[in-house]
Amino acid sequence: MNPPASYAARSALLIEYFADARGGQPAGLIELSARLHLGRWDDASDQLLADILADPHGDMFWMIPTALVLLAGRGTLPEARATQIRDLWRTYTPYRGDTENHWLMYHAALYVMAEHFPEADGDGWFNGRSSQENLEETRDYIEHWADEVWRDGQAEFDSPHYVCFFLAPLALLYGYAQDPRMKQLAGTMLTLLAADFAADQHGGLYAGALSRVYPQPCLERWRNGSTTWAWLLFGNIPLKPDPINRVLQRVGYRPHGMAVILAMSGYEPPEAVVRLANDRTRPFEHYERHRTRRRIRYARPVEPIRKTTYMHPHYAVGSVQGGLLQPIQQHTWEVLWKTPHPFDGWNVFFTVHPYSDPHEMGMYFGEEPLRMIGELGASEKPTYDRADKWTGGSPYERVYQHRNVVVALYDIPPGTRFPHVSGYVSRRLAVVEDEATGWFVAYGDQVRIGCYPLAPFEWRDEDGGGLDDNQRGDRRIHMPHAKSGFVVVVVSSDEYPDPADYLAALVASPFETARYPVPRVRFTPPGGPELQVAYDQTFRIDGVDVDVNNWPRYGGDVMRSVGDEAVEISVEHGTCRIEWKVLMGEYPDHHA
Amino acid sequence: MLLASVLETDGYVVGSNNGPSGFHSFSDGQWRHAGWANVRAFGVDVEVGSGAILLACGNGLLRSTDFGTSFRVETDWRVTEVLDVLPRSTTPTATRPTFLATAFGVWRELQCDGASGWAPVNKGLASTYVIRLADVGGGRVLAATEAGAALFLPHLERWLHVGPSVAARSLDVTDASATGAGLWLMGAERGGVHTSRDGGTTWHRPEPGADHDADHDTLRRDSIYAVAIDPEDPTRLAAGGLSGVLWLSADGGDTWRMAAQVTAGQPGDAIHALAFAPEAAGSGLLCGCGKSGLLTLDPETGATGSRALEKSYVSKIVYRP
Repeated sequence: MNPPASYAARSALLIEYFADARGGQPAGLIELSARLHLGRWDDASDQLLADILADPHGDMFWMIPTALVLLAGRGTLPEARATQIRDLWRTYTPYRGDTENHWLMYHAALYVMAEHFPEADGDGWFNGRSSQENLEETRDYIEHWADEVWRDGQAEFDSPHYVCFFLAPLALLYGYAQDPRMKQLAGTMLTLLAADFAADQHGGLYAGALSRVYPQPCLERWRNGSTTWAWLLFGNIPLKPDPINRVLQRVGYRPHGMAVILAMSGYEPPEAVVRLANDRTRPFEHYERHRTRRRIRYARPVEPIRKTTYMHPHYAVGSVQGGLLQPIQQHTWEVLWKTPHPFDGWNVFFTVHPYSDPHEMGMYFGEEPLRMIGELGASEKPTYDRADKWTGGSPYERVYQHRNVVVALYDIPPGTRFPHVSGYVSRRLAVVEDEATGWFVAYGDQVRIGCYPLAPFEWRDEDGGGLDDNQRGDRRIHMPHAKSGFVVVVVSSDEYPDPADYLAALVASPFETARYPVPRVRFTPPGGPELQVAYDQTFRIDGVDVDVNNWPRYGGDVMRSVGDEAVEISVEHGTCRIEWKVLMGEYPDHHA
Repeated sequence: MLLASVLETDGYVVGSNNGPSGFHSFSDGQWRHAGWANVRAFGVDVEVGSGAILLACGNGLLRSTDFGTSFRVETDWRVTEVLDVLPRSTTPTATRPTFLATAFGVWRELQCDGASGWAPVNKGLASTYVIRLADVGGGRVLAATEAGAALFLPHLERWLHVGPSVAARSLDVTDASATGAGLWLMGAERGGVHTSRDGGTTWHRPEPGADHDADHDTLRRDSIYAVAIDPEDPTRLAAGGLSGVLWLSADGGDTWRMAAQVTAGQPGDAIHALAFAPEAAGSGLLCGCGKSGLLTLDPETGATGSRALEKSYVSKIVYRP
């Protein structure tokens, strides 16, 4: 379904879409909320709600939609059902969770409930704390989280799957919090995260480095819940939410469906944010700083993450610096390009060292590290301990990026479980190679990806797997060497219609590389500056060190931090200023 | 009183319809669950005097005054991944507030009243990953940390690391007020067991000897997640962990023998909890496992008797007379 032009029309359409369960999905709390928002209720809806409430489970994924049903249903929801939901918040004991998105959902839902039922004592809530205690604690946490994100970024930054679980609780707060200061905080954070998303997506698809992504939706990026949110926020991709959630088959778990909360909330993104998302007429550079997930052991508790994205009309190139920044699901760098239809999929190119070690487990989880890998194999992250996996970070990977050029270097010590590096080469790409030098160009659609592998490798055909079992034609670069890397230079077909011409230009470019004692590269791409770097050493551009110690929270051509005071968005025909004092309620929000 | 904490049931995922974890107690010949059904509980204990149940959980310290029917979350969002709880104690010579071991450091209640809040107390800790706590008298607390054992000295308000630099995973101690310095027993990751009888000044590790070559050599390399001292006979010790082997000592830790292969020893089914429990039906030694649930073992042979809480990860078992 193509998006209507206006945000208001998209909001209305999305509410109707879910109220009528038009996607053919089994109706649940999201659908019931939408119906209540529209003032609709019937016997079938009532029976559905009764069935759902009879088996409460889902922790924070239960808290958000039950709070929504209760609050959106004022005036329509039968009193008996409202009382039933309220009583379940006393008897059902949702867990707080252990990740950033869990915590925001938990605290946001408990906040709105405590605010709407302010007189209850400890017997009135599942956690034994009074409404006032819950209100104070949840407000304290939400304000802490907002301030931390403002200053140091997110741990679960730029996740096409998990962004939904940050936007949804903020939307709940914006739409249903009574305290105008909390509503203002939520609205400001929605704008900040929407702008962050806008700068990091290409035609509605999240692009570049990602903190967390599941394996199959990494390759078919449209499957992620973020796509539905992009449809709503930016109107730049058709609507096609997976029926329930085909990434994780779990009732009540609705990364796509929760977008209806935003539609119901009354929030509308500033025009400048929508323009930022949609304007891909000119290339731009964009920088962000985020933070690692809090480390339990083996490393500094928190480290800054430096993110670079180069956005072009036909493609995006994005990266973070490498290392273990997020457990299990990190996606360190990639090229993503535009295809004839946004749901074509398989439009990514990247490399990965498939790291698997108790060290990573012990860094990020409280259980005994040696037992955890076996546990992951039986859980929803079964690819962790596989040599052929496509997701995950590595302590032996360093990535450097300048605009459309990525240098990914690897130095894998002896004894590492999987001492090889893999490169994903999509079925959408053909390859032309220069055997004398080792350069090749992978080309397809409107992208030309020049690649120099630093070490010998073999081509392997990928032959199966995936949600629709239609994965044929992809290829893998298998590079079984401890010291290795890749130099990747991306251009569009506008610059080099003939891939052979591009290959010739790369072959003719000044280029030096070595693998010992550590991989290093000295390279001048066509029309670009000299790039020089060795593994784990300073990156130099035309002889000038890249300053990694003053990485901006937001920087580049379209979105910039002004100290800690504000974030400014500046695009053609539109500007927007997001202010910390508005976030913290010291100023009124003149955009509201 | 025989209590157990369950971290999770088989297939646990946050947000899913999970089986009952959390607080369990033994009565009338069987184990029963009470309270929160889906909380991740790493430890359990009883508050002396009040009899309140204390549950160390991922979402904080949970406290129940009705034997688990309902719980109150005692800590706020700053406290997370609580791996153990040491209830407050009041003796003629010292009053010590409740301590919490967490993956991010130690917390202590500000006053012994349960209402004044909590504050971190980490000064001197080389690692803030703390998994087990034990009372060693005089207001002092022994902690198992990623950097070895650490002793909290209340008059200095700081921790002092004692003993070998190992990733400590388990602790048990004898009652110091009854037996002088008492026996301190510690299990370590890939480090076997260590004992001290002089308040942590010196530590002993079973050495390969003529009669115990193979056993001691294997024990030294095992990751010991659970240790227990028989409260009725402190020369009887038990240890177990990643290998799934039950190790027994009859001489206070000088020598050990491989008594039984209790679980398969896979990473997912290690031994995580041990307790000598005279009340336990049919046996005096209880064993909590990662998947095999809660087993009763013969304290001499290690043979498995009854089984309970199958497909559960039993994280701690405590016996309180």
